[in-house]
Amino acid sequence: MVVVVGGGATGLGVAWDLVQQGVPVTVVEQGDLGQGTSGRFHGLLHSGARYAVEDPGTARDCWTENQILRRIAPGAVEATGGYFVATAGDAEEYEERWLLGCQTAGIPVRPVPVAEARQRVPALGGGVRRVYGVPDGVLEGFSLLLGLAKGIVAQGGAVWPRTRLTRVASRAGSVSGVELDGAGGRRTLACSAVVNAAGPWAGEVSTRFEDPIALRLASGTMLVFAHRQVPLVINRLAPPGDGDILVPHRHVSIFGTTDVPVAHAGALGATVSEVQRLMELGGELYPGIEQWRVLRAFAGIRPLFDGGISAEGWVSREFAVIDHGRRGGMAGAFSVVGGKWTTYRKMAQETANAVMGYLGIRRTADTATLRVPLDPGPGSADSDATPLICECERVSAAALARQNGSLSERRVATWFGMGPCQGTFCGDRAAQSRARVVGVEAAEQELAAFRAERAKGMVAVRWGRNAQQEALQQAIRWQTLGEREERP
Amino acid sequence: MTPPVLVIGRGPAGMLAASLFCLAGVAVDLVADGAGTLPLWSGAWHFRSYDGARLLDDPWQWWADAEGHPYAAWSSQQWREGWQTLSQVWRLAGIPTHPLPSRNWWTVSAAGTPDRAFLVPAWQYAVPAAEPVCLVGFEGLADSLADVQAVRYSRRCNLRAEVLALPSPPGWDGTWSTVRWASYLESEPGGAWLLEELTRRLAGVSDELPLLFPQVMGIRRVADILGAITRSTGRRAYEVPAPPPALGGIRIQEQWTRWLLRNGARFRSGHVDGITEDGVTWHHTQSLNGAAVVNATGGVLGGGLAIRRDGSLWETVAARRLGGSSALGQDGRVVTAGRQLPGCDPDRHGDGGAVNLASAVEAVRGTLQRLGWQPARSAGEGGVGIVESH
Ligand SMILES: Cc1cc2nc3c(=O)[nH]c(=O)nc-3n(C[C@H](O)[C@H](O)[C@H](O)COP(=O)(O)OP(=O)(O)OC[C@H]3O[C@@H](n4cnc5c(N)ncnc54)[C@H](O)[C@@H]3O)c2cc1C
Ligand SMILES: Cc1cc2nc3c(=O)[nH]c(=O)nc-3n(C[C@H](O)[C@H](O)[C@H](O)COP(=O)(O)OP(=O)(O)OC[C@H]3O[C@@H](n4cnc5c(N)ncnc54)[C@H](O)[C@@H]3O)c2cc1C
Repeated sequence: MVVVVGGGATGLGVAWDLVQQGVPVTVVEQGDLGQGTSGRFHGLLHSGARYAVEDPGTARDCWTENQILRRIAPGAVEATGGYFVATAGDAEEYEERWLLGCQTAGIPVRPVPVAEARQRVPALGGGVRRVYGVPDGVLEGFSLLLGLAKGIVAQGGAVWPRTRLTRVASRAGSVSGVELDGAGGRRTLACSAVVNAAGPWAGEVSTRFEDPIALRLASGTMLVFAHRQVPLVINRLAPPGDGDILVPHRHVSIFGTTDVPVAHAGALGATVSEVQRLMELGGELYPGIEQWRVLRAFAGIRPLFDGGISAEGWVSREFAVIDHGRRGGMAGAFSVVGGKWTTYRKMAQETANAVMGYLGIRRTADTATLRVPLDPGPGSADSDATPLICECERVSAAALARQNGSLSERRVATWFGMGPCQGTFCGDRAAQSRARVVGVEAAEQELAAFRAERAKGMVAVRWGRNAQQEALQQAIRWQTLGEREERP
Repeated sequence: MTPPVLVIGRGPAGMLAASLFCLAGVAVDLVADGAGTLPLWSGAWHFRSYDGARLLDDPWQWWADAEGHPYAAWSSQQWREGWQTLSQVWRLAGIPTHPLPSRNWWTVSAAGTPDRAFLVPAWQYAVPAAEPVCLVGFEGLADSLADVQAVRYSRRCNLRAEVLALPSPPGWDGTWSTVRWASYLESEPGGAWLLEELTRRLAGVSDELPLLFPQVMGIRRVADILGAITRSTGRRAYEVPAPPPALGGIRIQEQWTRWLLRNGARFRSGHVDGITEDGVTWHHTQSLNGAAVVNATGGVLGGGLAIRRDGSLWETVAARRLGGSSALGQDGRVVTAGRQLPGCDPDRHGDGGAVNLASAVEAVRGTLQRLGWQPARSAGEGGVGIVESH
C-alpha cells in the first residue's frame, strides 16, 4: 500500500499512475479535493512560451505535456490558443530572446498581424506593437481532478477527502504506516511508502519524514471578470511579472497574477492592494478594464522548490522528486514539489518511478496514452427534466443531485454559484436540495460555509456593480431568506 | 408655469413620494435609470421586524424606545397616520392589503422560516399568531422544496408543518421561470389543472391548516386563483414570498405605476448626473427643470451611491464625492428618501418599509412647506393627509 498525501493535481496524478501499475494506493486530502493550489490557479494550459526565456526546462515540459493532455483529457481542455502581445513600451531585445527560447523548446510560434489580432480581440488597446500566436489552452482543473479521482477509485484505489496525515510511523528507518485524522476520528493505516504531494504544505509534511525540505511560498492573486472578455489566452510579451496573463474560462475571464511571499500555506486571501495593482497593470493592455464587471478575487499559493533560485531572483517552475531515504530521512518517503498544473502528469510519472523503484515494481502502463475518465462536465445537462437551480451557469437540480459531497464540492463539480450572481439566488436552492440528503441542519451549515467562501471573494473587489451585487446579496439573504443568525 | 417636482428613483420610496405629491395636486416627474427594488421582494413592508437575529413582536414599543434612529422622534400618532396614508394610497391604486395590525404579523419567508411584517399584501400569508401550516410545493419549481421548508418552519416555530407536493403540470420543462409558472396558473387550463390536483391530493392534509403556496399564483389574477382554491377546498389559501424575480413586488409596481400615470405623474427614464439651481441634469448634462428634488435613489443597492475602485463613495445624482455627510440638500431644495438615507440598514434591522414611509412623508411635507404650497386637495390632521377622492 502506498499513501499519497494531497488531493491536488500532483497527488491525484501520482495515485492515478500507481493504480495503473497495479499498486494499491490511498490518497488522503485534508479538505476537499482541489482545495489547495490546484483549485486556485489561473486555468492556463501552458504552451511553455511563458517560460521560454527564464525557465527552458519548464518550457519544454509544458509543451510536451500540453500536447499529451489534449489527447488524454480532451474534455478538460479548451484549445483556445493564445497570443503573446508586446506593447510599444516592452523591450524588443526581450522579444528576440523569447523567440529563440520558443524555438529551442520546440514551441510553435506564429506571427499575427496586429490588425488581425485587434479584430479578434477588440479588448486590446492601441499600444500593441507585435503579436505572436502560441498553442496555449484553457484547463478545466476541477473537471480533471474529479476525473482522476473517479479513475483511481474505479481501479481499486481509495480517495479520502477530509482526512489529514498527522504522523508517519517507521520501523528500522523505513516507512511502516501513517496516522490519519478524519471525520471518523484518528486511525492508522499500514503502508510501505508515503508520497508527499502536499503542494504548499509539502514543507510541513516533510517534517514527518525526519528530513524537512524548504519551499518558497508566494501568494498569487487573480481577478475574475464577468463574461469572456477575450476569445483566447493573452500573455504579455515581457519578462514574467505581475498581471501579465488573461485567460477566458467558460463564461468568465481570469486575470492575474501577483507574487507576494508568504510565510505559511494557510495565508490565503486576495488583498485590496494586490487587486488595485492588478487593475492598474490590466489597464496598460486593456483600456476598458475599468468598465469590466469584476466578480471576485481569489489567491493561490505557489509551492516553489527552493532548490532553483537564479541570480535574478527567478524561482524555477521546475519540479523535484525527493527520495528522503537517500538523504538520510525515512526510507520509503518521497516528496514531489514545484512544477505546474500543466506538468502534473510528468511530475506524477517521475514520482511513481521513484516509488516503484523502491518497491521493486516494474512499470507496465504509460499514463501519456491513457484517457482520464471525465464526466460530461459542467453545463452539459441543460436538457434535464428538472428545474434550473443556477441560472447563471445553467445547472439543473438533477445535475447537482448527481454529484456527491458537500455544497462546495458540488460547486466545483457543476460550477453552480460561479456566475454573475455568485450564488445569491441559487445558494439556498442548492442547500434545500442538499437538505433532502443530509438533513436541514447539516445543509444549513454547508450553506453558511458556501456563503462565507463566496463572500470572501468579494471583500477586495467591493466597487461598482460588484458592490451593488453584494448589497443585493445581503438583502436577499437577510430579508428574503431570513439567513440572519450568523450576524454579529 | 411652475416646473414639476422631480422625484429621482422609482423604487418604493420614490413611488410613495410621487403618490403623495399627486394627492396634494402637485405636478411630479419620476425620473429613474432603472426599475428599483420592488420587483426583487414581496412588497410586505417592515415596520421594525428584527432585533439582532430575534424576530420582533411589537414594533410600536421598539419605536417608542428608539434612540439614534433618524425617525426615533416620530410619535405613535405619526406612524399610525403614515401607515394609514400608505394603505390608502395602495387601496386607491387597487393593491389590497391585510388590515394594519396592532403587532407585527407572522409571515413565512421564502426559505420557509418564520418572519414578521407590518403592511402585507392581501395575497400573502399573514396571521396574528404563528400556527400549524401546510406548505404546498410544485415539483418543477426550483424555489419550492416544501418538504425542506416545512422542516425549517417546524424547527424554528415548534409547530407542525405538513407538506402537499404537486407534480409538474403538462407541458412543463426545466426552463420555466416564476413568471412562466404564474401565467400558466392563471390560464384556464392551468387553473383547472391546479384545482384537480389539489382535490386529488388534499385528503392527506389535516383539515384546519391553511394552504401556503409559493408566490407564483398568477400575475394579475392572484385573488381569483386563491379565491377559487378556497371555494373548492374550503381552506384558507395564501402565497408566501419567493426569491427574485418576486411576483408580489411586480404586481404592486404594475398597479402603482398605472395609478400614478392616471393621476398625472410622468415617468421619465434616464440617469441623473448633476444638481443645478433649476433642477437636475441627466443624460450627460441635459437639464431638467424642477421646483424641488426628492432624491430616492436607493443607496448602493439602488445606484444612488457608487463605490469607486479607490474605495471612495459618490453620490451619483450629483456626481459628487461624499465626505462624511451627503453633498446634497444643504439648502433643503434636495431632500433624501428611502434606502439612500445615511445610516439606513434595512437588511439588518427589518425597518426598510418604515424608513421608506417616514422619509417619503417627510420629504413631501418639507418640500410643500418650503415652496409655500398648500395641498390642492384637503389634508387630514398633521403630516401629509389624504382624503379619498372616490
Ligand atoms: C496564482 C497561481 C496561478 C497558477 N496558474 C497556473 C496555470 O495557469 N497553469 C498551470 O499549469 N499552473 C498554474 N499554477 C501552478 C499550479 O496551480 C500548481 O503548481 C499546482 O496546482 C500544484 O498542485 P499540487 O497538487 O502540487 O498542490 P495542491 O493543489 O496545493 O495540493 C496539495 C494538497 O495537499 C493537501 N494537504 C496538505 N497537507 C496535508 C496533510 N497533512 N494531509 C492531507 N492533505 C494535505 C492540501 O489540502 C492540498 O489540497 C498556478 C499557481 C498559482 C499559485
Ligand atoms: C431582496 C430584497 C428584499 C427586501 N425585503 C423587504 C422586506 O421584506 N420588507 C421591507 O419593508 N422592505 C424590503 N426590502 C426593501 C428595502 O429594504 C428598501 O427599503 C428598499 O429597497 C428601498 O427602496 P428605495 O426606493 O429607497 O430604493 P430603490 O428601490 O433601490 O430605488 C432606487 C431608484 O433610484 C434610481 N436611481 C438611482 N440612482 C439614479 C441616478 N443617478 N439617476 C436616475 N435614477 C437613479 C434607480 O433606478 C431606482 O429606480 C427589500 C429589498 C430587497 C432588495
